[in-house]
Amino acid sequence: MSRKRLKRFLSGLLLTSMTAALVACNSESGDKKSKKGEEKSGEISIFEKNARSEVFDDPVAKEIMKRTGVKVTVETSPEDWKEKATLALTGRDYADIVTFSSDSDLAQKYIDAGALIPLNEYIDSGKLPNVKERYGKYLNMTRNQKDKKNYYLPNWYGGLSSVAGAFNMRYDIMIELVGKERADSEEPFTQDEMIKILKDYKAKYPTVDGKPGVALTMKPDVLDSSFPQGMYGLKSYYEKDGKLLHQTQDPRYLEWLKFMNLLSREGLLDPEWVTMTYDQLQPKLSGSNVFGFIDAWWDSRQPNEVLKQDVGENAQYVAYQVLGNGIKKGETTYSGTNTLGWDFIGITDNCKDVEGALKLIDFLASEEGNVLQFWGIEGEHYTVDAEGIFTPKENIAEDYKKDSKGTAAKTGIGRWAWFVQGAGLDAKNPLRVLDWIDNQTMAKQVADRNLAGTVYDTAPYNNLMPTGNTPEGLQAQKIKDIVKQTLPNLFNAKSEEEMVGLYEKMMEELNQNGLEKVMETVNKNYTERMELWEAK
Amino acid sequence: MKKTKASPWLKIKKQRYLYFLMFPALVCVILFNYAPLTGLWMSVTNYTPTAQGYFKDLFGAPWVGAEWFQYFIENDFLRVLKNTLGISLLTLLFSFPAPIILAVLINEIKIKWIKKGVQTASYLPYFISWVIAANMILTMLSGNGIVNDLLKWLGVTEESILFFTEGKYFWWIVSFMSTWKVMGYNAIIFLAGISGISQEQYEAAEIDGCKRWQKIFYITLPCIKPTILIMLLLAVGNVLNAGFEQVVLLENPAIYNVSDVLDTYSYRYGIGNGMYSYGTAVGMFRSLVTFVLVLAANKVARKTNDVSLF
Repeated sequence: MSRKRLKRFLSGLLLTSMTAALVACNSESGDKKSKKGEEKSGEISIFEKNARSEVFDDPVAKEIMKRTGVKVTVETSPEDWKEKATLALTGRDYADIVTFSSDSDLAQKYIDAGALIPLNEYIDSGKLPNVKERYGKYLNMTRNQKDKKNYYLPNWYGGLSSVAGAFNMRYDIMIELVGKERADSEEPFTQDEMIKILKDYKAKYPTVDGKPGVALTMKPDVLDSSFPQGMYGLKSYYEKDGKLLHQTQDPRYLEWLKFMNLLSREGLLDPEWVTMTYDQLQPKLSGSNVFGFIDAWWDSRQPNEVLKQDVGENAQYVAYQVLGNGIKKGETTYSGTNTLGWDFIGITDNCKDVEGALKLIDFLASEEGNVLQFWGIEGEHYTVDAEGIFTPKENIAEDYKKDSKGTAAKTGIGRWAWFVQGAGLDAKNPLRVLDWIDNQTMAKQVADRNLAGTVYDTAPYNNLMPTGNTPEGLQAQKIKDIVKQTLPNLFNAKSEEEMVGLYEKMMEELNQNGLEKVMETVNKNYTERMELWEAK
Repeated sequence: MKKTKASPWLKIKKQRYLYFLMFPALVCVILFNYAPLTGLWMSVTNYTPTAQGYFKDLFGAPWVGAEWFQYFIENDFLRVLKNTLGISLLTLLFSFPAPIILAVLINEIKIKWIKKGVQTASYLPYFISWVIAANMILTMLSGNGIVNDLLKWLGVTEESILFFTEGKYFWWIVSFMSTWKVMGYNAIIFLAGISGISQEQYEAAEIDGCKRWQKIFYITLPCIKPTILIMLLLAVGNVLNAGFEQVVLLENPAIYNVSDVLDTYSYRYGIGNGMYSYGTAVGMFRSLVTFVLVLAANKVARKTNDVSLF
């Protein structure tokens, strides 16, 4: 190639690439503008941390958009939602509406960063009539500590009745080991009784279908929910003389540890619990060689369906209460619920169509909006009789039973849950189609009966730990890490003495890492919260 | 021909088209490699995002000096550094010689299709994502996994070994995984080095009556020594990079004590808990130590073998 031709070729190449870059930049900024609603008003993006798909076009989604006249797009996070929400905050690149988990401090971080807009003006001016009516006292309770304004609305609020954690045991094997009358009784088992039952199982079923029999299993995150701790009535914090102490400082905590250690030493607790995930536990529970697991009763939904087909009608995991030594019925705390809801949802300052967002929120928060999200479209997905009783269409109920996630994705029923209350729909109807189906299962009926009185509200205790860029924030994180790391070693200790020694060492380590200082902040936050709740 | 020393401007003018071509790459490097360095300022301040915007928040944040570094050094530094170095050095111990051995062995194979087959099979793991690879390992090493079944069948153990509950196995598992994954891919670099060796040397050695082993030790390995040293220098620069993905995917709370490495630790605190300043301080600390390590290794290599990166 001659020098002149090379020159021409290079100039051409440069021009083309610059033009391409300019076009790309231009179209990108155009996309951004429309995404943030600058050009297309009436389009709202929602960051939904629980969604697995960003497609918002199922029948329920379409109906939401039709009834509100607002076009909705969904953003989600394939991995940890907190990571995406944290990064979005630093880059101020968040969606118009953002959902947060109520046990994380991210909502507060968004408020502190001025990323969420206060809703009081809109509530007071009557732009959110349904929100005002349905949320009632919860609006007062979810105000921001510093300026007493409402920056977010709770999701799944008000549900205090739902039972959750338990020792879920195979009903058919329980009948074999303790007799039908005892297996059907709502009287809780003492911990000694349960240990004997588990030992009997191990003796009778060393192997099942060639696999070793597993007396009891669980996954590590149940310890965060305090389900196993519930047998000793342990709560998020230990209240003594009007002050909150760390859960590990409760004298009953050590007693509970002794029980878990005994289970482990006797080979009654599945040694693989430490690395167990939900996806591993589900097929494991569906196998024939597991006797029981500690977790929320509803985690047995899918395995129970499989066991019913493979083993028999009574091969179902059902919930039992186990009482720790010295604990009476009614003192256990298996079912920590949160009246302030599991999520918080707020409008961000990136939202250019606030009116549209308000319209959407008010509709979703209304009874009509809640029903649409959980039951679908009347006539198409469910019917209501003269007495106001809801019944899902037969095909919907059948599909839901077979594949609840798939059916939710296809129909949209139960797929989206924004600004919903967590208790039943009304006195006559359950909240969701899923609950309607659950109510007919043995697992739910037994759980309601056997776990009655185990519910306690975690709302006063959530998010009291210091967070963020403060020395206390670092210490609080360190304390959480120490407990998480040590618990498996405490369970697996070779003797009770060794376990007690390890526990004392852990407490020493916690104190060295500023437990006292952290608890001071916790108590300060708690007092401020109580004052806020009482103030009008 | 008369040689004159051209002025730099004249040189640039003469090579202007080449500079034009380089320009986009230069912009990318400045934008993505140097501009983010301004974020390091967070490590000496108490950064909290507010409505003022990123730069105002960043440079307006209260100065805390070396507070975050101090907290890190007083608390977790030794444990995290021990794990990072432990995992890295163990990985280096296996993953550095493995590709050299593999390359030499592949080079010795005379049947072409076997050679190609082995080479392809050995670098396939490189293209499997860590998520898939980690899940494979987790399944294989679980209580009812194939490894435990095999060990029981061989009579090595009666009870299943809980590889991910007992900390003592973790470093070995991560090292083995990393080696398995990169071995084949790195071998390509050494194979390229070997293919550059003149055949005449081998022929001469053969005439002198050299055996196969002697040819490997006296011709192949000395000839690829510069490549080996450069690769070693690059590996030393990565010593504090114990591998974020494999550790995050394989660890669990029970073994944080042995699994926490600098990367996962700064991620958990920085991104996971939104402690931006602390996470940045830990990240910066890691960069500083790595920088010193590379400088030292470079100096040693230059002095001993006359090979260096810069």
